[in-house]
Amino acid sequence: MIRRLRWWLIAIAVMCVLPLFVPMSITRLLVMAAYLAIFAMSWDMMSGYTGYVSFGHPFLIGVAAYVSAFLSHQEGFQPPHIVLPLYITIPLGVAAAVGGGMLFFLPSMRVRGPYFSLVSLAFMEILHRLIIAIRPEYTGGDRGLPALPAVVTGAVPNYYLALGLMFAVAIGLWFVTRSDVGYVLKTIRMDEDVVEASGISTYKFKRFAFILSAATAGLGGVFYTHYLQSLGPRWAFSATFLLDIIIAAVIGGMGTITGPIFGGYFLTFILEYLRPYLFGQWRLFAYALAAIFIVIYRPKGFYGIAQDVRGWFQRRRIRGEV
Amino acid sequence: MAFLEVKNLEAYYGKAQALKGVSFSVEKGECIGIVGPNGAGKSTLLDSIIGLTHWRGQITFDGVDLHGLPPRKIIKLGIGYAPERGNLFPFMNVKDNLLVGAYLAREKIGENFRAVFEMLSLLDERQKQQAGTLSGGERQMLSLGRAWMSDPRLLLLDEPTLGLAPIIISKIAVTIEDLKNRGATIIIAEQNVSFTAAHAERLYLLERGTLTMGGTPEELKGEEYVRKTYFGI
Repeated sequence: MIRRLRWWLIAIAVMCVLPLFVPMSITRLLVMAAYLAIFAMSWDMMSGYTGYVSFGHPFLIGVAAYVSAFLSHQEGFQPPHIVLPLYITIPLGVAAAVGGGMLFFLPSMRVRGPYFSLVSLAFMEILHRLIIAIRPEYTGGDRGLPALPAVVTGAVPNYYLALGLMFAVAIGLWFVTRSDVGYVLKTIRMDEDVVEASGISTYKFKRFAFILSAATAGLGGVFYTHYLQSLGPRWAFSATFLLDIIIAAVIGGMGTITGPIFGGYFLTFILEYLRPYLFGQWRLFAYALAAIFIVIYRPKGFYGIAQDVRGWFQRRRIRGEV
Repeated sequence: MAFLEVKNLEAYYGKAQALKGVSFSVEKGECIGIVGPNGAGKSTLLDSIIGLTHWRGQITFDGVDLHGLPPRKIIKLGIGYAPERGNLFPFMNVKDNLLVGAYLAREKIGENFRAVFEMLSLLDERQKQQAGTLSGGERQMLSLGRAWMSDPRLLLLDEPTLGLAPIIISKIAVTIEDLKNRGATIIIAEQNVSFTAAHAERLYLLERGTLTMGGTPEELKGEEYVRKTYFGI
């Protein structure tokens, strides 16, 4: 067991001491990367495992973030706004995301493939428009909600908070995916009709995956919002944010836990270092190219490449022994 | 009442009608064949029985009306389905594919594994092999084994010999005879009329969504049209 998990343990140890050796700017980037990894894992739970590709994941993140932000906002909008402590607003935000996940689940009972993706995109757009248009004096409208309370302050404490959350989510999802539930979810992705024709209620398992994915997205969403201490519809429901999440999971390797984590870190750093050269719409263009390239040539992402390299070394070692 | 009773079954794909007033029945322990050319509606008929199509008419299984029931509930009643070309999970190994079929009969999992490996020893040898790397015949055997893992009272086999070499077909034939000896009730939907006639007690001829003839294999062989068109005699 220890032998199997040794790379994980080494990674955790390295990540724990990393802030001691890197500048503060890098620590902040690592925080962003950890949250992107959580969102990517959450998206992958729904889309990578069940095959229902969601284009509206920011809807789930946004629902949780807005509920917690709205209830904890310190400036105090006009009544009936109530300011609640974070230990209450955070669970409420996650619960709202779970409710959103149930809403998301409803169309999946009737539509599949690109139709589901479009419906999920519509969910995100509807929430986006509602937040801007309906009672902006409460939601902050297009400007969003500034000056939100923080869970912890400072780059290093936030780093450990994000890291702890990311590993907690990863370990939780790892156990789910290694269980019978994970096994059934993978078969649903391959052929839902055959699973149903084997007497398995795909409805029950899909619902579980959607709720788990929504809860994870909500958890990441609320903590990320309180880390940023502000929330605006422009970033929460932007195409770039959506693509960040999807590409992180696709680049890393869908249907795995390690893949989206690696994808989250890789994408955050590569985008940061390419920022002077890739701005505005060029970023979206680069995303599209990267996604097309990976889907065509390496559908299993970096996880698949790592497996190939490992297989190559193993074969070489066996040949050497012979 | 018959074990499986199909009355005036009509099935549609959008506006296209795939089955037009199909009626037949199957008794417990019987093996019947639905034969006909490609596109006649054989797969649609089996898909309708397990609830994968929208249909009108009446299907009852062991006295239970199947109308409106989702596939998982129909399968729970005791129907096993081995679809055309297997529809396996290619990235899973043989054993895991069989486990998907075993979901409904978890308490008899060991017993059913033994029965499947006894009938299809090849699957026992290849338990760890990925299903996607199996040959066409092996996939068909795995599909049959997976259907049997749910401990069904009625087994639906869709084109079990499609695209297979004669030697593999003879192995499938042995398995079907073995299943019959175990008391299984079987419906075989096939283009290969000679194969089906060798195993089924009754044959139904399905053409363009309509059952045009029915009877024992000998009775059908007695019809000149069937002899010429399907047996090539």
